[in-house]
Amino acid sequence: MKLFTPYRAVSRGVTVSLGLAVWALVIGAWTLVTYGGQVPEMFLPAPGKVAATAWRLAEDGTLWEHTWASAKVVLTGFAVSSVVAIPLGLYMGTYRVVQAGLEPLVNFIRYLPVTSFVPLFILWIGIGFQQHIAVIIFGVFFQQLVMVADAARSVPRDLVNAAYTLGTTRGETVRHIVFPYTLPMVLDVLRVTMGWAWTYLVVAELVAARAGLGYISLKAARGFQVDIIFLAIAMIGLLGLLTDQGFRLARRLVAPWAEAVR
Amino acid sequence: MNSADITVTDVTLRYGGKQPVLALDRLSLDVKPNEFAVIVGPSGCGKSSLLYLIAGLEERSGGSITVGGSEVHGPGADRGMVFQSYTLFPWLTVAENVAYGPKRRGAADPAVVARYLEEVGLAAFAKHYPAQLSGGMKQRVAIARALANDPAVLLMDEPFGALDSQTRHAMQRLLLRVWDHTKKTVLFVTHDIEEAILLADRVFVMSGRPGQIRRVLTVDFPRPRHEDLVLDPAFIAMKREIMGLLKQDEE
Ligand SMILES: Nc1ncnc2c1ncn2[C@@H]1O[C@H](COP(=O)(O)OP(=O)(O)OP(=O)(O)O)[C@@H](O)[C@H]1O
Ligand SMILES: [Mg+2]
Repeated sequence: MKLFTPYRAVSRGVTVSLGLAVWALVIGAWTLVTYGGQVPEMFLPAPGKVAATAWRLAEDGTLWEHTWASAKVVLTGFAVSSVVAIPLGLYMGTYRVVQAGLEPLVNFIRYLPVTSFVPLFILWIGIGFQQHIAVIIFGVFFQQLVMVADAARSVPRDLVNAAYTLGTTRGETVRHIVFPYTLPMVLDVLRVTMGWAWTYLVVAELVAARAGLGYISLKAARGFQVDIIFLAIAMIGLLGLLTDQGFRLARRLVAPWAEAVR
Repeated sequence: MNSADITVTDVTLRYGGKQPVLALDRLSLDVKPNEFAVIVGPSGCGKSSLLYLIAGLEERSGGSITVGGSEVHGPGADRGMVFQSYTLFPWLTVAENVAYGPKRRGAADPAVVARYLEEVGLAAFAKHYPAQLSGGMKQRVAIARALANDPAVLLMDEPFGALDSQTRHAMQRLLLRVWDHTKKTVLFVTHDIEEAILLADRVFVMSGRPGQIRRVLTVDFPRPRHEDLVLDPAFIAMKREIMGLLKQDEE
């Protein structure tokens, strides 16, 4: 049973066929219970129905319109959050004074449920695009901050000491040592939190949205259009998968040295 | 090639915390320019602490340290260091690691990098990442990296501690050859008595905590020294003397 040796690499063929097999199993089961009539169509649409809806909405352009609207919200919110969280997190993990100041507050805020802030955001920012990205930012920023700070803290002290003995100054430490050392870890943080950003999309579009995948699925729920809900969910999943692969690729490209390990 | 003396006068180091530790107690030593000085001492006697103090990576509680006549306040490129743990920058290739110091000073010279890689026998590995090297190779790059920065003194904290004895002997030969070419002042820490005698002009034997210099021995076996020297009666006598000095702490 070589396949079941812990941590042992398996061939590309096995990886791909296993991945496909599990998908086939899920879709197969879905097909079976819907066409077999076990579950009423009102609760679970047949795969063919969802595919047909997808085709129809793709052709008239509404699918792309809503996908683009959602992608804009998620990507903007995520970018704004990351641009601040990465440098701040690196400084927080490197300098104890920054950590001492920020950590108690950050650790309090990051356990607060995002949903409960939606009314506040509406009150403060009004409704619309800014309010939507505020939800995404609130959902990922504090998590990113803590995870990036952890990565920065993991830099071996003697690596920094070695840099000092080679002429690096204290002020250069973050830029010259902490940042390059933690880059692959930071990209992993981005990959994971990007997934969370997508999960907050529906919360973001809960109120006062005029477009977006979260918006159409909420609207569809009112009209019992289960096929559209399924389509929206599938689109969010696909976009998540795409960004995930994007970050994996970026990690391989910008930090090839981290791939050489082991 | 610059090279300087090290003077440590009455240096005290106290670590704070819940249980304060007096690591070094009024320790004094001096190393001459171009000298190869070796410190041996029991584990925990403060050998690493002393090197970190000279490197300026740790703050002394009292006393004075000068390198090349100027007082040590914080780290600087004039004092190169090779650590016991592997400290190559993993995101840089071997050649980029060696070029790191000169580049910081805006004086990157590919010829210098090539020369030191040649010196440690790793010219063929210039484009490898540290993760692709063995432990001995990593320490060789670390030595090349420290030397390429042209420090006045080279501090070495048990750099071969984690290596097997074969590799260790090869590394000792390599280090002596490089030292012969560069004539840097070297302060080398080890707990291996044979290594100390094989390498040193003078051996500083430290006492257990709090660390002090218990005895200074001048080693005048002619160079280059062959490994068979360890069988020489005079070598064995010196080894026995150092062992005796170290044993006093076990009682
Ligand atoms: N950061 C620290 N905080 C408190 N005590 C410390 C610290 N670093 C070292 N010590 C203590 O200071 C003493 C000297 O430590 P040091 O690492 O210099 O010893 P050493 O001679 O290099 O030992 P070894 O041969 O095991 O490497 C030890 O007793 C150690 O417990
Ligand atoms: Mg030590």
